[in-house]
Amino acid sequence: MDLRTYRWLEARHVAWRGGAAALIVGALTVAGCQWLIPRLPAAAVDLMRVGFHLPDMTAVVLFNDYAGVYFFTFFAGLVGLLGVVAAPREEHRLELLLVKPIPAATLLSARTWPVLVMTTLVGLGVSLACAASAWSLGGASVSPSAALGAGLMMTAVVVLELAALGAWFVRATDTTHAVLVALLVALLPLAPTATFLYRPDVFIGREALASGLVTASLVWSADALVWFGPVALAAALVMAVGLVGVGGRLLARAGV
Amino acid sequence: MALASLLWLDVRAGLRERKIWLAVGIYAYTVLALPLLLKKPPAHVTAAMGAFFGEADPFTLFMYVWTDLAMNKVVATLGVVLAAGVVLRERDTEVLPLLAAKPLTMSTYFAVRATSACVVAGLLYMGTQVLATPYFMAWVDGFRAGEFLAAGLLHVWSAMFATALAATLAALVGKRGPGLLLALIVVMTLVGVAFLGFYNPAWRTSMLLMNPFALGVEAVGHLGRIDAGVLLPPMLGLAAITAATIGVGALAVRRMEA
Repeated sequence: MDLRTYRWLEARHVAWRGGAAALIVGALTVAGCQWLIPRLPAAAVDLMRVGFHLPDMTAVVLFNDYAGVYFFTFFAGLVGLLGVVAAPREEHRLELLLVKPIPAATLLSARTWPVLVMTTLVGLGVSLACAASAWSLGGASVSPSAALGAGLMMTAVVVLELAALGAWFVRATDTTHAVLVALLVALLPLAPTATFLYRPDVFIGREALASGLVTASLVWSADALVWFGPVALAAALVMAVGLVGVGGRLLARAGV
Repeated sequence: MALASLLWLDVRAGLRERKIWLAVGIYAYTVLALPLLLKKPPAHVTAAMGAFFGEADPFTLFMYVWTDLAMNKVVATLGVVLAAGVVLRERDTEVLPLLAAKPLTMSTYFAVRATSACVVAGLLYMGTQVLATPYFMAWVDGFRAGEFLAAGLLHVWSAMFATALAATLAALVGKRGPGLLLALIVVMTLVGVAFLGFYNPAWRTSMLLMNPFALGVEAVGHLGRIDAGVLLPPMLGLAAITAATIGVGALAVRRMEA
């Protein structure tokens, strides 16, 4: 059996159904935001609109949609990633995997890449739902292609986070602990966004910091994201190659 | 009696797990960061508090941010981490045959494990509330310790319900990975919309009926007039829903094979 057949077999065993479920729920959430947010009283919409400097209703809806892209993509990828090495180790199956005549690094990449590809596809799918939402809302602030780009930017962040976690998961012995660490990795990057709402004074005179760390910048820089989103996703996937390589070296040296 | 001591042992074992230290760290970070976050609230935030809760004083804002931004996110995260995979993990790590050989049905075992995870979640929550009180008294202007603790006595049931729900959803799915995914999606989404009834008063009643997490945050809408009449109905409601949720999970694992 050549390595290509092996990679194909591993790819078939990834949790594609979980990815499909996350994609469907993510798209439904985007539809739900579009239905729900315009029905909120002015005070609730204004908190987001004024607090995050969003120009119109389209921007407010999409700002919430991008959080959906982020979380559903992350959750789908996280669950897939646990199945790479961490769960097999916990279930005493890792030995069986490692006695195959396949180098540890090849095994890790063959099992990790389908997860990262699945994650990217979920992100792409929910981003397309965002684009459809932007198109049907028809606001001036965010074009459908800008919404797609912003969604892909979120996907890029998720791919990078998961690739880094994947390298760390190689040593994990307790999947519940690994999930807690992963959820922290997902939640902590959102802390500056919360700070921006409640302590905007912190960001006065630090516009670069705000546009780099606050997720509302996905709306502020909508035009640039048309091209920057896809470029960022491509860059994240390239960086993931390096991180998966690091994970492979760690696995070669790690015990079962 | 034997079950009570099993529960007690399981709670103690649960509290000694490595992830508990991380959970304590998360709670500590939340407590320490909050006064800084609320030091200079901008006008749009204060205006929104007035619209949502009828009060725009600093303590209302504090309670909203503490309950929604901080505690709701932490209880959802910890609930899933503590409980999604109860029994399934034992099956997949092949210790279930050992348990099946004990005079204990699978349903009872699930109920004990899920309850113990709820107790751990509740202890972490109430421990945080109690330890945070003197710190907030010193650092938060207009902080009202009595109401803070009273609201916590209700919201702690959100923590326990999140844990029970995660356990049962995973048990219903029957597989660890997909079960974890479902628990993450459902618990995070329900917790995320817990305050929706305050944002749009027209939806208040239906939200209270549809989303148990909306019951857990009821006290935030009654600051200044929290009494047993405000706290007890949602508390009893959440306790009953939590118990029923664990019951459903216990039924789901009834036929699980070791």
